[in-house]
Amino acid sequence: MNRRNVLKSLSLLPLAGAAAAIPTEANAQKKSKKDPWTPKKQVIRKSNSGGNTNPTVAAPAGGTKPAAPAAILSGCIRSGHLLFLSGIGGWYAERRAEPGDIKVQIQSALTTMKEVLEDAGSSMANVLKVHMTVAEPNKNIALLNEGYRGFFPDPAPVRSYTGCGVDQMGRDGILVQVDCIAYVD
Amino acid sequence: MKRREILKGLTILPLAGVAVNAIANQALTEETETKNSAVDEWLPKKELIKTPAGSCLRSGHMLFIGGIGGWYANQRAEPGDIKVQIRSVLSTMKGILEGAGSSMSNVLKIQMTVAEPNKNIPALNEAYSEFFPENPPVRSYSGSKTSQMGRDGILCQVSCIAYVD
Repeated sequence: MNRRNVLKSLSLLPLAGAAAAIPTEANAQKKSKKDPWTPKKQVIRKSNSGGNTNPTVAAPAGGTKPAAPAAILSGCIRSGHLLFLSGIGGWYAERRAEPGDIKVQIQSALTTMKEVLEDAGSSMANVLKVHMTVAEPNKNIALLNEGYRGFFPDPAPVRSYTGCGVDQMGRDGILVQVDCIAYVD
Repeated sequence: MKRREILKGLTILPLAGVAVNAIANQALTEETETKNSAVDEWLPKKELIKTPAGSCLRSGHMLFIGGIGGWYANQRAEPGDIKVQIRSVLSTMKGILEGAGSSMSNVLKIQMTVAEPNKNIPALNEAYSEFFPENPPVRSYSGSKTSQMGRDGILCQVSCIAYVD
């Protein structure tokens, strides 16, 4: 290449550079707008339990719906990309006649959890952390695990639990209460 | 454009292509840096925040407050009932949150341990709702016997996760 051509090519380079740089900057701006931790706090669902407007656990058709209690807690809250769920009991009288054993109860609680998560745009696959309160765990945990297995695809969330007596679960009949923290897009 | 110039232009194109590649590489680097700085927005990684009411940990926009007991002998002579204790806990929590730049309305999640919940939860709830009049946080609790609360007299212990700007 002679000198004249080299000079011409040099004059072209900055132009090409400018053209290529513009979209990159636009992308960078979009990105930084999307990244802030939002929402700060958003109630996604008012309640996961009985006696409320939640369609998941609404009273059976024809049954009398209990008066909505004062809102002590929210069912599901979003902050940034995290979802926080309240403790879901294994048995609510307005949902099922008999409390059932621990396997029935954990399956009931995790089915509700799945519905709450999917309503909020997440899924069981996105659950990060599970905490349970289990009545008489020495007796019940093996059967609980049987019912628990299958609800979470690999990798399963981390989990911890606290055990107590059947008469320390808050009300009679309930054997398990489970809450979680999950990721949401 | 004359033919000679078109030919010259063609010889320049591959060079320009190289230049674009170089710029693209640079763009990739910039993008990676942007990503890294986005990750770095999760700051602080872990910071202890001390307030007159007590301490908590901050990570990114999250505040973590450890279990606050319903009764401390050096704070109050008598343990009191569950209502007295939950009010004491939540007042302390409020003080810590506000000291750390957050507030009760930013609390996302509450975890409680409650002694004899079948007996104590209704009274606890009455006092509890005074502190969270709107959009209350999610909540879960574990019950235990009075003799399994860690020390005598204490009826509840409460921890939380809150948002902070």
